[in-house]
Amino acid sequence: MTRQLPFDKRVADFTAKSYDAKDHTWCAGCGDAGVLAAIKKVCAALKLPPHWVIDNSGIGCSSKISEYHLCCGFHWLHGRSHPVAMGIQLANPKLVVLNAGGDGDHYAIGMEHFVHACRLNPDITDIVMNNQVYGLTKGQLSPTGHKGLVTPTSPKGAKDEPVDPVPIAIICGATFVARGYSYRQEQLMDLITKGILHRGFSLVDILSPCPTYHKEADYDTVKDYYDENVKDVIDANREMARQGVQVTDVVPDYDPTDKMLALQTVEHIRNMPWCREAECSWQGNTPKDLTVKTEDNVEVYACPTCGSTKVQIGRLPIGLIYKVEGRPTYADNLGLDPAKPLVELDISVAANRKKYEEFFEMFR
Amino acid sequence: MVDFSYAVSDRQGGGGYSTISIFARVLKQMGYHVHEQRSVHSNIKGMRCSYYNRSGDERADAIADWIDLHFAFDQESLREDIGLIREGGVLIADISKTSPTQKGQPVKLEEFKDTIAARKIQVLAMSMAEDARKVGGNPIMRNTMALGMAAFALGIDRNTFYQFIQKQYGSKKNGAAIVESNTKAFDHGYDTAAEIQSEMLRKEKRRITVPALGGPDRVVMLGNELVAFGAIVGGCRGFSSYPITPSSETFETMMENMHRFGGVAVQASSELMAVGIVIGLNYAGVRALDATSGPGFSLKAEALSGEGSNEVPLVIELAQRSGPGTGLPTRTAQEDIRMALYAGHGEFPRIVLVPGTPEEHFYLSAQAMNLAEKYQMLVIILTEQCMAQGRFTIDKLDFDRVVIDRGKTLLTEADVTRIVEEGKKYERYLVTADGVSPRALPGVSGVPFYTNSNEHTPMGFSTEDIEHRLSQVRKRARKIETLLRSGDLPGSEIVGSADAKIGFIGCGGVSAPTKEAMKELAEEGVETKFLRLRTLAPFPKDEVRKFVRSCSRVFIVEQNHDAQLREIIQAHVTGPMPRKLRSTLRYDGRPFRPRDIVEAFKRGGEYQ
Repeated sequence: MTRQLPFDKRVADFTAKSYDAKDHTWCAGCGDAGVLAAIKKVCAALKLPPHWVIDNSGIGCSSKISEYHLCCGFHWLHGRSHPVAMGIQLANPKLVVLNAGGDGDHYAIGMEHFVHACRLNPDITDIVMNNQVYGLTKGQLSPTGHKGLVTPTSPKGAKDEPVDPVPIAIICGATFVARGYSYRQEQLMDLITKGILHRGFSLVDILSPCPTYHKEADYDTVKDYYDENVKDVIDANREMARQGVQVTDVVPDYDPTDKMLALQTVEHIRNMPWCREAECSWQGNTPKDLTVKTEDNVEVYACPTCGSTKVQIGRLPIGLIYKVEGRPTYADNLGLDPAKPLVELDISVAANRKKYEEFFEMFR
Repeated sequence: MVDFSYAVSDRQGGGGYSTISIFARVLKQMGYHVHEQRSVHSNIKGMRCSYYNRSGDERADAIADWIDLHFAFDQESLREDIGLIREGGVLIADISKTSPTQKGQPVKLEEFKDTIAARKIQVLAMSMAEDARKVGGNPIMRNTMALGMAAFALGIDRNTFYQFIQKQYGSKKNGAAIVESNTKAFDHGYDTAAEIQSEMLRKEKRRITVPALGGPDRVVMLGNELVAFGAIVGGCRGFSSYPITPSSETFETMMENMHRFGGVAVQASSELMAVGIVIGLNYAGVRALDATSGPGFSLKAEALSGEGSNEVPLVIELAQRSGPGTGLPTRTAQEDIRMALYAGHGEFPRIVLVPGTPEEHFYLSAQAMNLAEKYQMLVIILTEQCMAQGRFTIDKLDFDRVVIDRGKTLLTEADVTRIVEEGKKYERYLVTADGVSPRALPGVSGVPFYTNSNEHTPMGFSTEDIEHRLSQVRKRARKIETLLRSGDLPGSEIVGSADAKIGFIGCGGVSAPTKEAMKELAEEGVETKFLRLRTLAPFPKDEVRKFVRSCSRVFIVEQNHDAQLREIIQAHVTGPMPRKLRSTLRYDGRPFRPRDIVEAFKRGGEYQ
């Protein structure tokens, strides 16, 4: 069941350029520019009238996005965007509500709101530019930063278990969970489009590299890090089937409506070891598949095929990971009629007098 | 004049509230006004609690200095209340050896024999819980047994009670059986009272009578119910809140009734979520309210500041309770005046309204809805536990006094094209002479626009330019000047003797007890007047200055320790005036009684 999109014939000829607003001020190579480009193209493809699109954003480099495409933008407080987005959607369900922000907004300070949004299923689309750091405040570690990531607040490399919003969202009841990547525009546009059309809460987590503050010692650029690390769930699922890794009884192809498959596939991708040597394309299933050798009195992992120690455990799952249709939305459960937006109610005393008098009588 | 005060000392879970509640409804049907106050612990069962009621032919909005008739079900609770029973008053006590309630302390009148003798209190005591058990009923039916005794003691026809016993218990599970056994308990109490009192009555008439007054069966509402209703009549169709005492009933009233008016009320999972939802609703054009208390309001401070920058209308009820921290969660105070005026980083305009009569909880709440949208500002409805959770008789609510005024809200595309020149873009934060910019709504107004809590250009985009910064700061500040010139704010009320040189200043919950104290003083020949503030922000400097100048001594009555209202008066209006200004403070979580204010006055102002 898809939601109805607002229509206005005046935008019939709109292209992506029609949605230009303020020029962006992001660094060259910022992943957020890819997200912005995708949003403009999706709006044009769906012929969304700008005044019916809400971009409700938090605080940070990524949250500036609401100023950069033509829409009704709302730039609010750090981590507090979900409740506002939910209130806007209740007021007028004709609005297409995009809830943009960074990993700090949605998964750190705003985690309480994120989790409740997942379970309450408001008809909004989270657009999260996830880059493992806090860019605008100059590069501190974000809770999504991987173990070992060096930043000004993790000078010896991050030690804590990172947050992965994908399984959290699935477990908390989100009805649409996807992860895109700024540098795979086609897929990103497809995921955002599907997220908007999905009737319910849609998480579109987007790996959006920060070239200024996200430094990876083992890679030349942060884009290389992401390019090499992303793994589409469809591909992973095929590989798992080929290698005989059974996660459910029948696994012909990736089925995003299967919750257990989604969780297990994501977990598999997060734990799979692989060799980073360009000529070797070895990939295992669990860290146990690696060999262990001793170098300079230190035990290190090595590739069982080529022996190199340039191995890594885990990749970053991307793609349409999980979705379920037909669950009542937040507004449905409140008994709201999408054909009668609250904003159109007649609030004059004259129109409501009889009800007011009846209510008063209840207290006699 | 009939002015009858009655109360109950009980333990939570004891059902004492049923006793006094049924009694109040009987009196209401007999034509009485009713006022109720509760004094409870922050607990569900097992701690002591008291309820104080007052009924009369004239309306009283404060509890009295005395008690005429008292129901006693718990010793610890009675200890706190017995001092209020007046000479010749009636004490109805359950003297069963054990108490049927959790942690209940059986009543032992021996402890109070001196007080009883000195004040010639008429005691009607029986082992109610035990008797109830004996006749095969639930010991908790002592509540209705006590009512039977009261009916006899006051000469009220027992038939008047039967229908209310039916109303109170009839709809419960096994309702018919419960009603029947409670009626038996009632009759047992009535007949036992007749036996005990027959001797006394042969010698003297009943000392307290509550004659049927005739007249209409009136409406009674809690302050919070009036806030909710006022907001709705003022156009509120959205509500979100997190449960907290003492704003709970605003929340419950909205949750249970908003659907009748086509609106939506949702329980949030945190205080921050509640205010966020309300901001979202208001931004999209639906008037919405959030209700909270001190601890919740503290949490929302960032959101208040965000609103101060982005100019989305916002209305919040701050129902004060004793602090700091968790404080006395169920008890009254005026300790958040400072916070209401100043919470939130940075500088931005706000309105703080303080209802001081039950009806004002309705009218000022409706007015708040208009003010927030007309001035695109934060409006705080500052209430307090004793009035928010007090029950009052309401004679009439005049819906025609509420006129919806949406100010410069651009509700349709036509509204926008009317004000935006051909070829030009709509600017959300247009710099205007009065400081209020025309406000489009997303979708329905037909134009995209940017709403921003960063400092912004007139288009709404983030900027750090000096010119735009100064222009927007001054625009927001101009809204206050416009507001003050408009006459839209509720002004202060002055009551008492116009020529009096002794004045009281106060607001909110101290209003009713102060007015009664003034009557008592007038009877003793002391003429006074009272400046009752209804707006605290923007602060009514001229009104206060004029009033203070016209007095030789002013008593500022408030329920906090730091004399916050006096602080503001001194800071904004008078400067320190240690001789002219006196503080009458009560900060133990209990509301002022009129006598407290009279006694403080005689001591030169000091109460606590």
